[in-house]
Amino acid sequence: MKRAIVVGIGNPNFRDDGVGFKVIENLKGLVDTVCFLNTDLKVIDAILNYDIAIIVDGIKIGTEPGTVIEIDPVKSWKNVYASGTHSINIFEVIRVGYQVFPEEMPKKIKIIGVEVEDVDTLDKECSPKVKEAIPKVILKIKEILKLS
Amino acid sequence: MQKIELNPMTRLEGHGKISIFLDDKGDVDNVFFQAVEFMGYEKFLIGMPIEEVPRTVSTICGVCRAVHFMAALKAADEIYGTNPTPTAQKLREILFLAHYIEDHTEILYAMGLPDFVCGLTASPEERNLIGLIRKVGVDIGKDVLKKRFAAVRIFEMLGGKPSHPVAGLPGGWSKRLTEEERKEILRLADECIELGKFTLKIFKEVILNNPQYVELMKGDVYKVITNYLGTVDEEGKIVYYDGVQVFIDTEGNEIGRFRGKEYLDWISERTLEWSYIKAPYIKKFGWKGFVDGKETSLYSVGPLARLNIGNGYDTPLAQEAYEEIVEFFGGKPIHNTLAYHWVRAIELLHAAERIKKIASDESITDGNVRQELGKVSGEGVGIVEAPRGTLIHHYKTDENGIVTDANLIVATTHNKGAINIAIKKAAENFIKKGKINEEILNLVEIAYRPYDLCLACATHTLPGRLPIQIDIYNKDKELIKSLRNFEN
Repeated sequence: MKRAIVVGIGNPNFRDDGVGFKVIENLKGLVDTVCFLNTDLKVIDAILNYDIAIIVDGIKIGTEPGTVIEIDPVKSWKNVYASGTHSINIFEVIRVGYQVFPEEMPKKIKIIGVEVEDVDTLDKECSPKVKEAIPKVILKIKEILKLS
Repeated sequence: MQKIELNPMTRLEGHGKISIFLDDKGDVDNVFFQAVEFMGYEKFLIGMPIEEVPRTVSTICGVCRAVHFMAALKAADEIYGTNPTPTAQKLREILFLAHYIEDHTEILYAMGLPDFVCGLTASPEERNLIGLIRKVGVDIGKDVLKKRFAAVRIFEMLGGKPSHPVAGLPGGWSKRLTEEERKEILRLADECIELGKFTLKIFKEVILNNPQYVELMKGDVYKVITNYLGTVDEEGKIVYYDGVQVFIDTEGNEIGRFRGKEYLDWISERTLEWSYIKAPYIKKFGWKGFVDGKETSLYSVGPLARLNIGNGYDTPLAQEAYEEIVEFFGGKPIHNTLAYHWVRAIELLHAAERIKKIASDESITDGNVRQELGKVSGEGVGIVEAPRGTLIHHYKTDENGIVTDANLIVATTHNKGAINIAIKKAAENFIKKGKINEEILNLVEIAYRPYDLCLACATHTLPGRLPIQIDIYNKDKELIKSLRNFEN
């Protein structure tokens, strides 16, 4: 197996926003993992010198809550930009990574998104549909990484 | 003027909103900055043991991950009637300073500098960190990121977790520093000092050498005259982790100072009909409205406020930079808001120099990192200078240290009045006769970016940032244009 890392993004205190953390909890010991509360430049630091990186995060794109979507960030980044107030989105983070560290960035990066239902309620548990998606995400990650 | 009614909105899918109302000539009549801050953490904390609160509040915001942690930890110290040991205080401060470096670097290179390096009216696709790296070169971009990672490593070494710090305890810190770690911190601090020096160099070369930018820096478009709140030590030097809070007026005279719970004697909050967020003001001056100038009761916090209040920095390179900026503006207080970016660069350097200073003391590897706890006092206030401004955490507990009440005042709340005025001034200047386009949008955005808003970005689902929407209404309150910095 090539060297791999799975990065979980999210806030574990805001219901479905914690889905990334929940996935990581189930992968510890099987593969290198790390969790961050948000996407910013430290994601680059975490994934450098790995062959493959998988990033798991909640998404809100209008599909049914619990839908699991695999995104290729290189093909999908389009014209995203960050004139937001505070943080940098994952597409920009990855683009910066490839721009600045072309040799050290993973050859393959995948984002696995889970459509969220509720990210506003303070709750350490995910909503039922998102909770049901967690094993599917883990299975997908194991398939990608050829883990048993 | 027509009466305008703006009803508080629902959460607007998590973005902030600026509403600009035009008069019959198409010029700006009024502006309202609305942001829905998520206030649920206070309720979430009730029933929690106070010693768990720092680790929990450190998750309020992934960008602000150290500040809520530290403010809550200081409050927990007071609740347990204790203070950290000298060694623990130094370890806490090093973590806090490392956070300053990572935070200020990201904000400057991703948010502030692209406007100037890439061009104020460049397209959004160019005016970002990627565009900045294209302009300055990949090698420089790589060097900046590597040096920033040095600060992140210091943070993780002390904090205990990559995502958010967990190593603090009431009365101290949960682990001692080894000599090997101390030496590593010294090495990393040198890299951070170089990062600070380089950031100031870029600022001077790109901005201060450009007459158009100098005019903007010194001009009236991006100028907001308020009182200021910040923290200093006993000698009046600018500090971040601990000190006394000071208010100065618009002319730089001290209005008063406070510690801890005394903040309640100084800060009042005005409920607004059109926003969920209240607007703080200086209590003794009374509410004067959203006005700036000599008579205002509004105040600002953050890097520029700190510089206005303090009499300098306690490290040589930062002090030299302090003298330079004061000379550039012809004295203090400085009300030109673009200076926030400049001061951020100075603070980045100051934080790095301070880490080196503290870590040079071999005694920080001492094993005495935890003080005995006293009797539960039932109330504690922790105040720190977060990178974006004064942060107050106020907790009440029962006799067992279980939280019964919590009140958090964040920097963006303190700055609400100033931000509203800043946006309005920019809008009035750039929007004339109903002419609005993307370039003008950015010139308005430049007005609030120096304040580095944190709109309680506790959640961040893809695309992973907090969008801002600007809605423009004509004299009949009809929406005529809506501009966004995000895609649907």
